[in-house]
Amino acid sequence: MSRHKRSAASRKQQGLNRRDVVTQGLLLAMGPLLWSPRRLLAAETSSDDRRFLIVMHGSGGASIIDSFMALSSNEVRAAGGDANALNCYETSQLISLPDSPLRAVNYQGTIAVLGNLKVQGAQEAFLRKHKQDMMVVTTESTSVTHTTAQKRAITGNEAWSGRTLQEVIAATYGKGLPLANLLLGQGGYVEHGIDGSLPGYAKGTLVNEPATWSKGLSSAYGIDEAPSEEVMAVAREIRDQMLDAPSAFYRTFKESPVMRDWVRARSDTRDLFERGKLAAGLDISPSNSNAVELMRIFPDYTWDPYEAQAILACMAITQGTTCTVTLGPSFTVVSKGGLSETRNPPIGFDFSHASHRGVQALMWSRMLSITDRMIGFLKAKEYPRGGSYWDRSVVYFATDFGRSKIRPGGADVFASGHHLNNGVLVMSPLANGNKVLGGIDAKSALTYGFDPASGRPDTGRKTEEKDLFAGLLQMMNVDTSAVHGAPDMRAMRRR
Amino acid sequence: MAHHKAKALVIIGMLVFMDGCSWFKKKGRGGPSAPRKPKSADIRSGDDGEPGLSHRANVRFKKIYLLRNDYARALQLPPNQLCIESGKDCLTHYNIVLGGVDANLMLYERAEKPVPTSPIAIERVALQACARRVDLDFGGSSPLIFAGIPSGGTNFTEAHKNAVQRLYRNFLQRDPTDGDYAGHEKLLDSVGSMVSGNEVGKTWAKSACWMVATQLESVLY
Repeated sequence: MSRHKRSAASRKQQGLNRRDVVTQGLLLAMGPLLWSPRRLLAAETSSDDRRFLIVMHGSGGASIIDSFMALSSNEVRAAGGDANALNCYETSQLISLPDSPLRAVNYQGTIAVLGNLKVQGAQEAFLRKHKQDMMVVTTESTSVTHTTAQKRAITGNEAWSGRTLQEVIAATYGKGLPLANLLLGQGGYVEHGIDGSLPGYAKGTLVNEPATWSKGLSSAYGIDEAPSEEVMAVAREIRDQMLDAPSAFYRTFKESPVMRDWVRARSDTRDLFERGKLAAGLDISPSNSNAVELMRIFPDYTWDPYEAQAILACMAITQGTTCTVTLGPSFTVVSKGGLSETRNPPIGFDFSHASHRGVQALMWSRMLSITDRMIGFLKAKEYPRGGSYWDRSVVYFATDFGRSKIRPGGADVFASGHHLNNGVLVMSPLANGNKVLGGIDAKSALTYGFDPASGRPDTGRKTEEKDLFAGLLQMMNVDTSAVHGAPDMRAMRRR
Repeated sequence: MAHHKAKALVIIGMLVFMDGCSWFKKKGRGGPSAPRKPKSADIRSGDDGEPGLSHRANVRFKKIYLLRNDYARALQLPPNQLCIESGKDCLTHYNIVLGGVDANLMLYERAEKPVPTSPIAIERVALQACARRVDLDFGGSSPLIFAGIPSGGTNFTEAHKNAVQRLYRNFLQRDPTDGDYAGHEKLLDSVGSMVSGNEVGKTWAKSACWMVATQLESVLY
């Protein structure tokens, strides 16, 4: 063996080959720069004419006939129905406004199985305040299995190659945003779509602990014992170029997609987040001036995850981080104290299986309260191009399905099951507000559809998942020609 | 019926015979001289001692429990005390990002691929866990990894080498290469020029530990 070969072999045995170190180090360091989301983003024109989608999910079945399309017992009787057998309310429990087709249920009662929890419905105040931006769309879904129904509520039953609404909005308006699609909720509402052609930046980012999650956007933010930024930068460079690049592990597996993604994320994505100071900007703490106002608006964020979600959602939208957020009450019990202080019953709206009216009233109030405060915040924040953030926002109250329409013997406390027939609330200045699109048959308490162009009620039509999906996107100026068979849902748009 | 049974038996017998005979094998696989492909054909061995390049490259990232256990074992810390944020085991804050599941969120399937924030979360966990080990070793009488590291010295001593060796053995189950040692020596040089006197040793120790804990070899498998 020649001296040169011997020395090369010896260097390789030692695991250190200078040429390799330089070559591999350069490749490792340059790779992400050559093919990176940041470069791609920079190459594309970023849109400053954005729309914002807030998916506010009511897991478990938010029933429209226990809220804005509630029936009175008189109406049922007048239609020839049995008011004692159908889920309808006494006139004293219902609020109708002279200038609105929308209703409100002011239910008062107790939920016995939750330690006689007192419930005070609060739909009337919300309706009076926001009716101009409220639109109810009657629906007929296709599954009464929670997770399946939830997924279909955001994909229009796979209407657009399996993309979710959030992914379509993020693909349309999320170019240049570091976290275009923020998923703070749960279940099928935060599942990814199945369209492999979706741009990477539009894929959702899941958040499990909204109150603390943002710290994880930085390697060292808020860690007192961390070395200085300068030292960490040197350590990072040495690790990448002198330890990883020449390692046998890297050289053996460098073609792995996971390895490539990892290297790209720890350099490019980290840089993007650090430069944008996302961890500090989205930190829910008194030291963050962006958060202070929201912590006042949602003071229970420390023990109620829904309030923490709302803070994070508002910050992410108004700081130019995100164009779609998904949030909602969970299936988990939330209570500051005992059972009788329950704010979120187990399994959310689905606890209607145990006590229908009380749970519907409790959960609707919970969602409307959060929404009211979020709208107030977004209305007060000016969008850089003029107007407010709210002027460009749509809140879609996605829900799994409706609830069964019957009750035994005129009871006020009863249990309900799942039902495909329902309606959803959509709120936005872009929506055809103060409207009910479709109608309800007072004899059966079943809703029916409407003409997509005029909005005229049509007892022969049903609003399918894909119709609602397309209508929501059209409202947000998205071209829906990719949605096969969906009509122009002109009736859902204000203009 | 009996006729059909006999026919089937004859066909099966012929197939077994053909499979066993060399004619069938030669015809289908290119003759007796053709080399048999190894079962683990995804690894191409280097012809000069270089590591082979894996074409299958079936690499995964360490999910939350594996990571927690590996870090805890490497640093000899209780698994639930690697890092504390907002009064909780910090790994729980990044559970989903680190490939965990959460029944409360109805997330029953873990992410098999890392998300963009996975490496950042792991770097964060590593930094805090390493700082804990360094504080214990520098403040205690029986250090486990960082023994005899001078608090202010900038020379790469035997104590530094020993610490590096322990880090590699604990995290990567191998000894460091000369190149690895050189990297840690360079780190000490840099730290010495950026940090004031008595903090050099601890700062180097935290950074050296963090480098090894977050190496690709440590977080992927």
